[in-house]
Amino acid sequence: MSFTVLIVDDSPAMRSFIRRVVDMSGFDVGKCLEAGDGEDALSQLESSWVDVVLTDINMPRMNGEELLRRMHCDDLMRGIPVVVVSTDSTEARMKTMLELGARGYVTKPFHPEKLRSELERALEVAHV
Amino acid sequence: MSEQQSKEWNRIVCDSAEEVLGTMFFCSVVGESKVGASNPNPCSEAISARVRFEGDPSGTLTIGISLDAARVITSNFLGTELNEPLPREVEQVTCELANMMCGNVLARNTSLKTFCLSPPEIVELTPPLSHSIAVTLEIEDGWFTTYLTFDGAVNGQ
Repeated sequence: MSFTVLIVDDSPAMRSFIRRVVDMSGFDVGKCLEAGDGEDALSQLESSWVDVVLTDINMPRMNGEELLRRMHCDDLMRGIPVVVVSTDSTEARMKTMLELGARGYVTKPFHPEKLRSELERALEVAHV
Repeated sequence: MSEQQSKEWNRIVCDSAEEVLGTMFFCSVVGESKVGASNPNPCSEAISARVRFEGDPSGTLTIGISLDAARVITSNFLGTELNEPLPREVEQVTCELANMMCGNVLARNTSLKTFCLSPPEIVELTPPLSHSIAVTLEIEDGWFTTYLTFDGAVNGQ
């Protein structure tokens, strides 16, 4: 079974890095979608089937926290696992994001193995 | 800021640079550098980005990196080692490096509960203010400098 991953980050360089890690993760990734902010991500989630979302927090227009809130309010999007990938490693921020339903939290900078293991965990939870 | 606090921030910046550059940009820190931002010649062949942070305290973090080293870390980051990176890609990766440095430096200060980062922007590299924490490191293929400037901070306070 192949997975569709949505990468949400306002930095094209960061999206490219994450895409490379996902491609090399060993998962059967069918499609890797990209969004530059939360609003763009919601549009893509409304029109495409997505198995897992990897999102930054600090983004223009709609940040990652608001994206999680909106997904939580939507019956169809609520079940999609989200892994946060952010430079913010303060406890308060992590707690907020996990309370909003994030399944994992990866702090930048990260080793590719860390993102791979969080992705694996999120996908296992979603597909058991 | 006391001399002790200044030394502590200096150490934090060095540790962050080593972790950030080594983990995601595949670049090693060789040691402290004698050249860099305070030397006008290397400055002309450099790229610089700044991030503003809001919290307690607030301020800015500016990074500067010699152009050759910036091109190498861009290729490393994007996985395009065989091709010369485009100037736009070098700018994007430099911004991402500034973003990560800022988050990493602030997170190492255990007294900071929360902070908010503004989007990084490319700026002209100028010498640091007298009250900035300034660290320049020798890295593979060049040098890397960081200025940490807190709002309202002046020497000796």
